[in-house]
Formats: sequence, structure tokens, C-alpha cells
Amino acid sequence: MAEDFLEVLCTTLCPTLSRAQGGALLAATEPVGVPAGEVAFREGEVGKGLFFFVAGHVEIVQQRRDGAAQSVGVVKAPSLLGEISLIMDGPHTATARALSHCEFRFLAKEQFRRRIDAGDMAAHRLALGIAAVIARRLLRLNETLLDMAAGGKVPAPVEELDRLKQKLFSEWSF
Amino acid sequence: MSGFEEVNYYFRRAARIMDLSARVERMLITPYREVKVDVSLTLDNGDLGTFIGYRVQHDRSRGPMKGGLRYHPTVDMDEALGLASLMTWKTAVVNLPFGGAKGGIAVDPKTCSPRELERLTRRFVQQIHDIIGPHTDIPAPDVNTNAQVMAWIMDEYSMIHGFSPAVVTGKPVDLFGSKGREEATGRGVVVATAEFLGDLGAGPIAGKTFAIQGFGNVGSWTARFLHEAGGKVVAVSDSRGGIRNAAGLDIPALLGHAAKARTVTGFPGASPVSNEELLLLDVDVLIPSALGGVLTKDNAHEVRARHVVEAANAPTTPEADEIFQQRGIPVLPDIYANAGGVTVSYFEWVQNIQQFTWEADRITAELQRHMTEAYATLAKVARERRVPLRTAAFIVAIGRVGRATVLRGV
Repeated sequence: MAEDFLEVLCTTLCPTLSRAQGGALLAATEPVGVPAGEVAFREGEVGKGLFFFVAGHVEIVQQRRDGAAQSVGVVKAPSLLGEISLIMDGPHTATARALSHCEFRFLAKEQFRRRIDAGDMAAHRLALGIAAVIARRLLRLNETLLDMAAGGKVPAPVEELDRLKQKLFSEWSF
Repeated sequence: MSGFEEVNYYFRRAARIMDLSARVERMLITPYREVKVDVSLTLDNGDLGTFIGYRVQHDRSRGPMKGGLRYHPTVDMDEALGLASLMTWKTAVVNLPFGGAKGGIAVDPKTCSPRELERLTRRFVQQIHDIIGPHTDIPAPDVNTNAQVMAWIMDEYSMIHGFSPAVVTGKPVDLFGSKGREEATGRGVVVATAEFLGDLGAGPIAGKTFAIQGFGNVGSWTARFLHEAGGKVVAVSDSRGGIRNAAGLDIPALLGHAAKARTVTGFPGASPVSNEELLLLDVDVLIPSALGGVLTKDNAHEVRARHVVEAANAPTTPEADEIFQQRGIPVLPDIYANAGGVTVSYFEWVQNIQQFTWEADRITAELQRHMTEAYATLAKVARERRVPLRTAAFIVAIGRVGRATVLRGV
């Protein structure tokens, strides 16, 4: 399982990491098991580090302004959770509740920062990988905002045909 | 790479330049209809002959679909699909109001008697008559089919739907066929070659040297028209081998020899050359006019011709095409170069619809006009977009088919 996770970590989740660097980082983590139904971390709690999500699946829940819990999705291992708390001091922005027995490898924020201060290349590469994850989310958010600004409409096939028509009758008309 | 994949390779190369979305690409590539039918009949010896017929109709946005019917043991759905899509782009390149189709029967006609071939053809028409028609899908001759087969198709279809000469082209001139149809592809190749050489600043056909692989309908008529234009045809070949003469072959005499001997080999005053060697001769223009896939990555580096004119369908593999591009050897692509045949098929269809006959000089003049105008458009796109002529041809074709598709509505 750990080998499988290392493979995914270094190729998909954080491709900036070499296999050796990924292995070194995982060796510095603590195993954490969360039974089904229990909470891995709770919204509002101060984030203490990064969860390498090795096995299982969790539901991500956020509290609405009226206080009701709103499920915002299910995350399935392998994945990363709590990565923002590694970069910023602040509370978790959502709760992660285990839907099945979940296994994590926990990298404490202090441990991560010590490695950064010591010039550890693996830690720097992990930071770069997390920055890429956050940048992708920002891009998605920008697209959503653009869609919302356009009245909440998403591009529909008919618009795709309109774009094609415009292209064929202007740029590609001879 | 299958025929369909090869066509789609060139299609995608153009589509990427045009920045078409994957869904639009899929919409344009996907055939309108594929039909596979049983064509069983009682053979002359009383046995049951079981054959399979195919018809693929690729696109109908620009008009009735148009494409040949071939009788050959290797005919299958994939081959028909590739050739049907090629017809869509070919008719669009020369701006004919047709879409693309192709089909045939998986049969070796050499094993059939004329009576069996007639029954086979009529049976096939009975199976597909409701999807072909003068305004739906208009078959034409192809490999191992001829004017007689087209006459049977017209007759069988007319028995079901009433008098319909326009259901098929390539008919005998005595049965609503068109003058100039037999030599149309070769004449178109020579018009195209003249435009190509002139545009590239290589000068006229007169005085240039040519090697022609294939001496069937297309190759022999091409040789004749090149000779008439002052070109020097220095080598030709057929399935039995080839001949060469650096001073130029006497084409009228060679045509007489080939008609009697049924091969170009043994022609007096010429030395033998193999089909493989012919492709590598040092000539101004190489014209593959028989088989597909003869110019490959294995021989493209050794080709010494200054220009390649694709009179055959798909004689150049995509790998060889890339090599020619890197080596700066311009290639006049098949979808334009051999479109003279389908262009005169269009004239035949027009004459049938009009119930009016055109004289040969009108056919020649209209063919010249269509081929010249089509080349001007290709050359313009190639120059403006800095792409090879093949990519330019696909860009022009995709543009025309795409515009018709979106105007009609999806």
C-alpha cells in the first residue's frame, strides 16, 4: 500500500518530488488511522499539518452561515488533505469525516518547516507541488467567477457551434 | 494505419491548425450511414454464392453523396469508410455540390462469369436501392467495375424507381454517360500538374521529365496528355514491370503496344525498370497513379524526383509525407490531383438531370476551369497559412463542409 501511495505521490499528486524525496518525506510522517464515521480534522480547528491520504474515502463538510452542515464532496484516497495548513497558519476550512476506515500519513507543520529551514530539497519540492495544487484551484475558481459574471451560464454545445460558425465564416473563409 | 486512420491523420493535422474542438472533429469525421448487406445468388454451376456488399455514406451536408463501387476480395467496412471520407474532402476541394460515399462487394470478379456479375450487381442494387438515388447517393465505377456495371445499376434501380439515369455516373456514352468521362482523371491530373509547376515557378510541362507508376486508365491517359503538352515521359510501369528511356518514350506507340500486349513491358526501344526503381528515378515529376502506400518511410529518403503528383489515392504514407516536407519535395495531394474523375462525374449527373448533352469541348473547358479555380484556392491557403498543399486542401475542404453543416443546422 505504502509503495503504491509513493508511486501516486511522485507521479500524480506531487510530480515535483522524486521517488527518493517522496520516500524521505513519508518516512518523516506518523501513521494515523480514522475509523468510519469519525472525523479526521474539523472545520475551525487550527491546522497542524498535512495529511497524505493513503486509503479510504472521506466526506468534506462545511458549515453554512445558518449553521447547517453542507456536504461539499467526497474525496477518495490517494490524495492530499490539509495542505493549506502547511503553508498558512489558520483554521481548517472544512471538516473531513471518514466514510470508511481511513489511513493517513501525517506530516506535522513544525517538522515540515524545520526541513524547509534546513534547506531540505524534498520539503521545497513538496511546497512547490502544493503551490501547483493551489494554483489549479485558483484557475478553476477564476473560471467559475467568469461563468457567474456571465449570468451563471456554462458553455453549451450550441455556443460551441456558434463559435465554429464564426470561425468558418471569417478566419477560415476563402 | 488503416485507410480511415490515414485520412483522419491528415484531417486532424488541418483541424488542429483551424483550432477545431474535439467534438467538432468527431462530428465531421463520423459517417452519416454504414450499410452492410447480404448479396447471395445462385452461381452458374448451381452452387450458392454468398457475398457481402458495403456502402458507407460519409457526409451529405453539401449535396448527394458520391463515390465509387469496387468489386474486390479485400473490400470491407473500414476500407469503404476511409475512402468515403476521402470522397467528402475531395468533392469539397474541387467545390462540387456533393458529399462523400464509397462501397463495393467483397468478391473476386475474375472468378465470376459475366452473367454472375450482372446478377450480383442487380442483387446488390435490390439490397441498397432505398439508400441510393439521384439526390441521395450516386455510385460510380471503381476498382473492377466499369461502364457496363453502371448500366446494370441504372437499369435495376430504374425498374424499382422509374427512369433514373442520374442514379449512377460512369455509364456508357450510349446510355446517358458523358463524353470525356473515360479520360477525365488523367486530364485532370495534367491540368493540376500544370497549375502546380507554374505556381512553384518550375515552368510549363513542356520539356519536363516524368515517371508514371501505373499504366491503367489514369496512368495511360496522364501519359498521353503529358506527351501532348510537350512533356517527356521517361518511365512507366504496370503490375508486370516497367520500362524507361531517358530520351522520352514514344507514348502514342506505347499506347498501341500496351493495348495489344496488355502490358507496357517488352516495348521496343526501352530498357526495363522495376516498379520500385521507377519511384527513385531522377525526374522532374514523379506520378504514382496505381497503388496506395507505395511511397513510404523506407524509400522516401531515396526519391530523387523534384515534385510528386498523387494521381493514385493515398500513394504516400503519412511518414513519407513528413520526409518529403523535410526534404523540400512538394507533393500535390490526391484529394485534388485526381479529382478530375469525380468532376466529370458531376458533369454527367448534371447532363442527366438536365436531360441535355454536352459536347466534349465543353467538358474539357469546364474541367479545366474547376481544376484551375480549385488550385488557386489551395495555393492561396498554402501561402497565407504557410502549410503544405495537402494541409491546405484539407483546410479548404473542412471549411466548406463545416460551413454547410452549421448553415443547415445541427
